[in-house]
Amino acid sequence: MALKPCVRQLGGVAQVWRCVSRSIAHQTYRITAGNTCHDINDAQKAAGPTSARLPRLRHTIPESYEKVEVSTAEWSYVERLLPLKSIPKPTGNPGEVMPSGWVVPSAKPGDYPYFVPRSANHMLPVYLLHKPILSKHVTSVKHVQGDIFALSEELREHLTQLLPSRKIINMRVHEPHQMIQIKGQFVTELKEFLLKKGF
Amino acid sequence: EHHCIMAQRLFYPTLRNSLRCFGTTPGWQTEAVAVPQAPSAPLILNETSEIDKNVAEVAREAWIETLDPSGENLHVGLIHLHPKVFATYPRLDIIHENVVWQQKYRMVNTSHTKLRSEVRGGGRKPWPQKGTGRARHGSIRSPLWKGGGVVHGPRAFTTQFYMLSFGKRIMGLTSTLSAKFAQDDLKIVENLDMPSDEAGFLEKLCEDRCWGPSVLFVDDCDLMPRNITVATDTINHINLMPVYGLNVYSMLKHNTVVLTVSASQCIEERILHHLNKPDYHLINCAKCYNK
Repeated sequence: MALKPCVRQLGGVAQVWRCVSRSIAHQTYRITAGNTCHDINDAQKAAGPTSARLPRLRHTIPESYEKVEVSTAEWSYVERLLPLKSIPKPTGNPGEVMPSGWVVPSAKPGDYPYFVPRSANHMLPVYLLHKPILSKHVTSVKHVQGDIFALSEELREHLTQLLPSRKIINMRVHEPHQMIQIKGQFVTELKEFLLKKGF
Repeated sequence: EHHCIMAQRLFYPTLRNSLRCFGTTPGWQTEAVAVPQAPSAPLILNETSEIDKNVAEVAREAWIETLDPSGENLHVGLIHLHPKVFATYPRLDIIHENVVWQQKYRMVNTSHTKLRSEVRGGGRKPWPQKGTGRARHGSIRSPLWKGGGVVHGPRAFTTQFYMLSFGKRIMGLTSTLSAKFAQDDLKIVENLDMPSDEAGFLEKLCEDRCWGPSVLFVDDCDLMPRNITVATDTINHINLMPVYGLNVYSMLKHNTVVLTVSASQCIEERILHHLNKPDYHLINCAKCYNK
């Protein structure tokens, strides 16, 4: 595509920069005040002798469409496609296991000295932090309320039981941030542990 | 939302007598129900039964006070504050990050050092390339030379602008509101209508109630009533703020933060809307290690 000055006289305008191209798709038109959007052919004629001629188009509204009926009967079909404004509350009895594997929480804040609420998406707050280059994995349990040290001791016991070969389990109890970090990949084990407790 | 605020303003004169309002919060809470009551019934607001019981945090209750000391009671009613906004475990590091961000994002560094091309002189080759026993140099203002230009020094008008992630800003607000409430520095007031427009009246009121030297009044509408505007005009440490101006720095800067009922409801509604929306994870999606 080359930009060339195209000199043409139209209502006193001497010069206009226009994109000159072989392909019709790249043609640009300068539509004056007199033209309507329907009359593209006239605009083409005004644009200059070098522009290609597109087939003549006439946008007309057929008579059958002139009568418009307002109906709200189909709104339900539209509404069910709109995105949700807030995360819906899950239904189910406490402790119930859904077909997807998701478990309804059953523990109440008073049951244990600690309490681990679900995240906003109703998932368990166990996350794996991993730097992709190093083989450094850290499993963290967040949003631990109450006696976080009691939970950390129970987790340590549970993990030593599961992995008797491992001598040291490095744990970091971060009380101000309400989280426990364990060196290694223990997401599945911790999630099972918490589900058994009912969190 | 605006028509709701206007409706509330109309109802204020009869608030004590007629309405028992529930908070305007997202769909998972109960809808607003107006229950007509006897004129002498106490005003209890935002008592929703739909607050998640499976959380250790319980809804907090706060007195609704008036700025009009002439009535029988200073406490006009009771309001329930949502635990996810006013009763979170405050994250001090996030509060700090918010304060630093608020100070730094508008900072422009004016410190400036000259490059070798900007230092005066140094256009000529000091001595020929070869022949003299000295090292080869092209200009007396190269960075190797004393008095020469600085290579990677500060350049004037460098912006320190950055945006803290949305989640951190939300958490900053909730942490600060929770901390203020826990420390008895958050007061809820029916509205900002005062009987007098004297600065001394307001100062005495704040002293009587042991509201700290500096007070921040937050209302949901940015056009405040006349009396309080005139009274606070001359006092620099008592300030008025609309809800959309609420920020961590201002809340920490002022000893006491006084919210009107409508402001607290507006804050709750907006923060809960953001905490409960399904695409929250898409905002500022950045994986942080060890945070």
